[in-house]
Amino acid sequence: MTTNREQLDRLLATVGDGALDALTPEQVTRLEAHLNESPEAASRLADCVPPLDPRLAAPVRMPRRAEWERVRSAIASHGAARARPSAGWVHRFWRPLAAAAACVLLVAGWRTLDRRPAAATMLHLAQHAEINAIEAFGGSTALVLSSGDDAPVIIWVLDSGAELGA
Amino acid sequence: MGYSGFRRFGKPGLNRSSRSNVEASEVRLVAAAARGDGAARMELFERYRGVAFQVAYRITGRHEDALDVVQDAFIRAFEALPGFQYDAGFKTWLLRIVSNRALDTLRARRVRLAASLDGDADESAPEPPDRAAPAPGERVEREETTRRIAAAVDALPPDQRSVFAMYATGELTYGEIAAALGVPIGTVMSRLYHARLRLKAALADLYPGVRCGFDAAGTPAGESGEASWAKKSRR
Repeated sequence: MTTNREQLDRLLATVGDGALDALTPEQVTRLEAHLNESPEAASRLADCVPPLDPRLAAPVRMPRRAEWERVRSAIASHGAARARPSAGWVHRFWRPLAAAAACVLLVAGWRTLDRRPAAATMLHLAQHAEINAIEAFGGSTALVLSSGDDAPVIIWVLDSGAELGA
Repeated sequence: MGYSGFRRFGKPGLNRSSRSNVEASEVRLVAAAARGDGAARMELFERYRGVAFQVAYRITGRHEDALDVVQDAFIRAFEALPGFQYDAGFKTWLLRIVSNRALDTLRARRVRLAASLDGDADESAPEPPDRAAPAPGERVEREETTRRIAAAVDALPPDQRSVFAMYATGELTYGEIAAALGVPIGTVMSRLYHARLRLKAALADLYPGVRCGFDAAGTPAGESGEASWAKKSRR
């Protein structure tokens, strides 16, 4: 009396020998479950090419050369079109990019100019000056000395402890 | 006890060393194609366009639709190549895309047909393949057989149709079909079995005397009507 495993092995051998049609539907169901559960069993069938029944699988008319060329060209041109994304991207967006760059330069330039220090104040001697009052703090004394009407006026500020020397 | 061992039918199998060499070269080719190498992509196209077309044609049943599917599938495959992990091979991955696109095309065509008020019957009928013209009577008979087979394939459920389409190339193993369709090997075997059962039922006059499976005693079906390739083994 054959065991279940032996029966399955026999069925597997039958399929491997190319006699798939010799099985009953019930046997196919059992064998399918066995193959799907057992990687070892499946591996025995994995490299088998089921033999071709010419009555069921008549040869197919293959495309002519011109048809193949049409398909080949379509595939190649599609690949070529996909290979140019960066150039196309720059080509499409160069105007907005240029405008944005100009705005950035404008703002940066304006801010740079704005930060420059104010022009140094020019010093010059006053031609006509009239001193109305001088106030010194902290006990200091202010002296205004001049050698003449048209001579420069010099303002001295003496500290409280200072002594006038000769 | 035991079994006769498994042979690879159809094309002679590669030994382990030559198979690994083929795989290594294809890995390099796929890597180059993923980087955008146009020559590598065209090389892959030349290698697999035939099997892709066969699968697409057997699913869609129409020559022009199959060409469109092949074109679309290769474009999609090349676009997705940078993310391809190369765990199941480029061919099986490509055929998965082909199968999905072909089924989409088929569904779209049937939706259009169902929605059409005129119900263009020609759109549903698969095209018979062109053949070199033999004698008129023989040609008519052959075309009629081909048309019946095509109609029977057209009537298969989508899951069985995909499996059958890949099986009918004659060059895919159970493992490759399973990988391409993303289903277990046992499921491939089951779907192929039921697809063949349906086709043989639809073409019963081409298979005289064939009965399905075993009788109550476990004896295989009568050998006289069996396809010549079927070999039975009893252990």
